[in-house]
Amino acid sequence: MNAVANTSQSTNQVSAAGSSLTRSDTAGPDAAAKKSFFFAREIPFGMALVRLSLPVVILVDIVRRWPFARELYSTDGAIASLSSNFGNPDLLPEFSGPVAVGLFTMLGLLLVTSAIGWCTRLSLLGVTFLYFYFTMLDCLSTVTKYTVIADHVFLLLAVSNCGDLWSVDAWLKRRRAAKEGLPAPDQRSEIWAQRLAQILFGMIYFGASVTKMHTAGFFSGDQLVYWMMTYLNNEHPLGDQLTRYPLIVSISCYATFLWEIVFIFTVFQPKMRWWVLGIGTIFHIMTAFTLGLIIFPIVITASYLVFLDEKDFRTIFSWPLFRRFARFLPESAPAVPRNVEPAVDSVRLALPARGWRFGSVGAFALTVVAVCSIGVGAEYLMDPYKMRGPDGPLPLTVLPDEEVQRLLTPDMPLRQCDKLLAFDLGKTLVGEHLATHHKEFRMGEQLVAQVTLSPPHGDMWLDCVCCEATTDSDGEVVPGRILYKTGHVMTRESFRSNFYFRMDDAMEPGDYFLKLRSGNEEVARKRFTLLPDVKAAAAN
Amino acid sequence: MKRFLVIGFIAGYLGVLTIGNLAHLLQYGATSHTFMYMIVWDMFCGWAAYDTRIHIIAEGESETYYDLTHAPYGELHPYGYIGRENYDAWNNHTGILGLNVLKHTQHEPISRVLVVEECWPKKYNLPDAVWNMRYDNPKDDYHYYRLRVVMLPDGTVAQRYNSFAHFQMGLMVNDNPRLVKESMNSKPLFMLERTPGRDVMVDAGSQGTPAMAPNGN
Repeated sequence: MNAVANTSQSTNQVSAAGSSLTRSDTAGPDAAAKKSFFFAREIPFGMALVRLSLPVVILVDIVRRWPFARELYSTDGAIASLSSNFGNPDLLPEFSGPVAVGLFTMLGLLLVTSAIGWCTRLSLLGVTFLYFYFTMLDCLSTVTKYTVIADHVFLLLAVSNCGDLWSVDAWLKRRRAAKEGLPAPDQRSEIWAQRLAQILFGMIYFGASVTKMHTAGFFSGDQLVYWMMTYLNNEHPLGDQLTRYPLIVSISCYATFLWEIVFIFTVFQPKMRWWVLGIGTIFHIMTAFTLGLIIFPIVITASYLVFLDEKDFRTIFSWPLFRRFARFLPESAPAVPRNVEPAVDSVRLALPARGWRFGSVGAFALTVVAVCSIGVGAEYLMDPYKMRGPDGPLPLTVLPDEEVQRLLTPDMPLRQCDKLLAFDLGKTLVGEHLATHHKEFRMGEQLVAQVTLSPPHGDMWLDCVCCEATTDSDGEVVPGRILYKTGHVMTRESFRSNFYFRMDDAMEPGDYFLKLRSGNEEVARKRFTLLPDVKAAAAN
Repeated sequence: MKRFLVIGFIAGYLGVLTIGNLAHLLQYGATSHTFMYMIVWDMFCGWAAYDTRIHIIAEGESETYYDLTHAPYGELHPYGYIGRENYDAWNNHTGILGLNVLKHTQHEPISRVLVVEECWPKKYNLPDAVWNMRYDNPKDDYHYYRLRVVMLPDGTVAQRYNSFAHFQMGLMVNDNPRLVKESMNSKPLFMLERTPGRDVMVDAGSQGTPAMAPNGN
């Protein structure tokens, strides 16, 4: 018992996620603590919750793609395998429509059985294999990095004992034990799979930070600004607004990079863990509002549950908000000495248990066969290509002539104004960005006119022209007499350059325009107001 | 025995993850095999300044053009509100998508399948409210079009052109009399070369082209 107490103490100091060691070890506290990192025994709450949530999230993707399974994944469609992009198109076998649909239906079913924990290990192994296969088969609309992350997590769930908790398997085991008058099965198991999942996320973030190091224009925020202007994903209203504040985006880029690179070194520190995970959760949720990502943050946030250990769950379920769910938590089983196998293991090997297990697996296999058959039949009846309509296949849509002319327009060189991303006015530069945008300046202040160009652009001569504001015949305020003109070269590799103006006595307070010209063509203009000097105004 | 298997699995798994990150860090072998995609975490590969949409059209023998982008039997919008053809960054598969629509629809004999890239500056994507806060000029949305692939109905690729961005970079590089003269000097006097067509810069590599962020579209 002393050994247990000693190792528990050292584990609390060393182990990740605050796990506690519950097995005795005769090799001394330090060795035991090292072993406990992977081989401590805990009730796998975190893995069980991931098993409950992640398949459901992925199931959303699968259900959306199921009606298109024939088109996406079969030889009766347009397979776009990832391996063909790598120059190895025949890497994976491709099946006919009914087989592909049947397997895809099986994937959906296995996600359900994984979530409910029926033949959990078998289900998760099937999900890992089939999900990998189907994602590899469609690089256009299925495989992304979140599918890869999910596949890793499915593999680690499959080799863990996540099915021993909150599952059909666990319920059947308990029922059988109760019938036979045996003690309830021990739900503790070694946590090495959970540790691998935690390390996986550390590795992912480390790799992501490496990507950012390699990506030109990331730290200036330009890359992210362009992403926020991209509508390949869903709406992202916050991202639209943030494009106006590249300095904030740039600071966020540095913060993200820093957080990603330190993640693996801090998430195993008990004092830092909650901060790191909290920041990560907020970061991923924010990508929904700034970049329009939906499934990705949900997958990651659900997978973050692997960082919670038994102690965390018992703490969380003692909070008033979650106390009502505490009845679902199994009682803590006594620590099991290392040399003593849990009693339930012998029970598992008992003959009646084998009979039960075969019964469950048999029912599972029958269900898989039945559901897959129903899936294939339903898909046939749905006729996804509408080939069996009263008039045969559907006719193609004829394109109007104007549309054809538009699409087949000859190649055009870029307009000068399209090379410009933004023309902003401000007073102060922080790094390479304007701290804030201004439209009003006081006499004596510095005006910085910042030009941001979009790549690709050639070497350009840019003129910045300061004009008086005047009123045209329609009553609109437009640029009038030119007061000052300056210009410089902006080389092809530059993203931005600045024109500096000192608002001195040569200009009277009033409205003015700055015009940006390139190739004798006006590219952009900005109106600003010059106000009297504060001291002069106070003196008057 | 079980413990040895577990230790082997742990060591193997961590080794594979480490190889992926090292390959990515050193930029060596990161794309050497398809399965590297499973262990290289390059989630942020960059975004271009121009937004892109892909149009797949078929030209019938009667010179009527048909829309293959929006199949009459429906299409999947995998990540938002646009079809899967828009996620083919290198246009490796778009022709195949068009042929699949042809295979499952009624139509006259088809002579060509064309893949057209539509591009426009991303700043025009901004909502009007945001645009008006940042820009004093009116939104003058202009779209560029570029033919990317010409395919025969049997799937033979008759011509493949470089992307809009690379084409524009080529124009800018060639807009340099000294450079053009030097390139002409390097041409052999007697040896006949394959005459370039309308695209001198098709897959000519990146030598001398302006610096540009990688396109993650």
